[in-house]
Amino acid sequence: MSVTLKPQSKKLGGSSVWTTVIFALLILIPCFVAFSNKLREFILLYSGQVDGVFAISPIVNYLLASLGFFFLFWWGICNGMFARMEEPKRDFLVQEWQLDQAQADYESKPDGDKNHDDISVYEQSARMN
Amino acid sequence: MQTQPTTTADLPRHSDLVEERLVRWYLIAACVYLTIAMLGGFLMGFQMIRYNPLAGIEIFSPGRWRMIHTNGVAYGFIATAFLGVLHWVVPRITLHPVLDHRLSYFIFFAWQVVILGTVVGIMLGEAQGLEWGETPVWIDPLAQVGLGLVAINFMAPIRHVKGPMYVTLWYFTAAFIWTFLTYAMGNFIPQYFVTGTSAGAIGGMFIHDLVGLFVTPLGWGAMYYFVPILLKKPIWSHGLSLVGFWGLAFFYPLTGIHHFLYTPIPMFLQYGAVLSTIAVEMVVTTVIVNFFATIRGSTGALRENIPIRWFYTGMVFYFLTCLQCAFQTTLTFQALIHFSDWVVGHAHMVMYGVFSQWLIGMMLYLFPRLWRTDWYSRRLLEWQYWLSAVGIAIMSADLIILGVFQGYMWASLAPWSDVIQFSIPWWALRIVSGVMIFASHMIFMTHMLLTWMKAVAERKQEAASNPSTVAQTV
Repeated sequence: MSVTLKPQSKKLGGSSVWTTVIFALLILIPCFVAFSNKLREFILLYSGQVDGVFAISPIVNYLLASLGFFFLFWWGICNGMFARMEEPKRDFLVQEWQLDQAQADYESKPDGDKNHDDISVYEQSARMN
Repeated sequence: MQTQPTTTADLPRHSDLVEERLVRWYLIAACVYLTIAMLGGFLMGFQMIRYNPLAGIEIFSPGRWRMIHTNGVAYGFIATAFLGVLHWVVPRITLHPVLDHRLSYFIFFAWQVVILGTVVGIMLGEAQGLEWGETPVWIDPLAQVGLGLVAINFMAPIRHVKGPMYVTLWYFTAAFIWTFLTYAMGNFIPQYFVTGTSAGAIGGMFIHDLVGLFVTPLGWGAMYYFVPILLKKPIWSHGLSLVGFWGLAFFYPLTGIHHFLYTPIPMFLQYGAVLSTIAVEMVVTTVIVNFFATIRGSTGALRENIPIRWFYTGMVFYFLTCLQCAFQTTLTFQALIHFSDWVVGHAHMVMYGVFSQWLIGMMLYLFPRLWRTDWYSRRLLEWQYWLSAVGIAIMSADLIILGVFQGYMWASLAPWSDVIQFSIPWWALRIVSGVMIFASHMIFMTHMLLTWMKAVAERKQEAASNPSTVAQTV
């Protein structure tokens, strides 16, 4: 099986960059403002009224979840997860085709040619580790 | 993404990575559970038009069948099918198998115990008093441990990934964490730790997080995997896909409280839920834009490629359902449609119109690869698709429109019995649409059997002609 990627420019097009930026701003800014406002209201309510305790459970759940994802986000930045942003989409696709190609080649071999003792590269590295 | 090997020769073999037998088992089990869940829906649908074929039998009472219907779809079909798909996708993207195949088999059997235990428990009246979390309390710890093992088993290959990670793995990683936490939050906190309004708020978050933090990340993660492969081109913008992921991560968790508008839960929390729901709709729009920009120039695939057709049909329903959500969570709209059949139509559009359609599309792609043969009949594939798509469109439209009528009738203080009388023809139409969906599923099951028999026959033929090349795949 021979497959090639359809031609596409390697760099992000201007429209892609602008779409990404516009959507990011459109989502992040109003939500950050709104959330900050609601958090302030919550603190005022909870510190002023006993009934405010109703709000504790869901808010704590939400804050813990968001905090976890904030740390994950930060970990992603520190580990280069957002560098070369568009590369993974090509790498994964090429890798998929290579996997299919390798498996098809293997399965098309007559059984006598398949050396079952000949372990794959993955198995070699797994055993070495 | 990492991709340590750089040539075909360096790659691990697919057969070393993917335990295909397990994928087949999961997908077939999921289809069987969907059959049972749909039968449960049928019985409930008949009850709505005043015909109960199992009247007088306590364990088959409509309320219990309804719970088997909802839990059967969520845990029996969707979760089981996703587990099968994960066993295919994660090892192939990461180039590492799951932590341990023996653990995978253990999880498979444990999951069947959880599902069957849930069905039996519900039929015996042991349901937990939490919507979508009716799994009996004695099943919950087992399910919780199982979800932890699933996370460990699949995170092992993901941890090998170095460098920028493909968006599918972001979604899957989040799903493993979220599902574990969501299940614990919904099934244990209201049961043992909080009561009253707090428990209501937690319950609301659980209902919605089950959709948004368990099914949604698995569904979109899988879409970002299958759609580029089938279209033979990368997703339009990987950056935009990450905006969608992180948007979901930060805005979704608060949305669930919109199930309890106009309750004693503090209004600022209700407003927060409304606002975050609308924000999620904007996040969803980025995802939809990305996928439709990807198919631009390849729209012929919608006609020729059946799985792609199922995927994009699901995406249209997803956009509609999220748009609907953004409107229905406003206080004005909520006052009209709350408790009405609008909500039922909305739920069917999400769970069947979106996620079930995606999963069926994935199965249509995977089964021929797992059995090393093409589908038995293109005509059957077309019938399956059109019955399903038209059926769910009719069902959703029917219930959503009915919900508006019901809301206005209640607002005008019409007698309850009048509203019921008015609703019965609409509920009858729902049965008709349900028959279409069930027929589609029966065609699918029959087609699977025919294709499997075809695969067996082909292997036998190959074995007869050249005994040395037959792969053990069926």
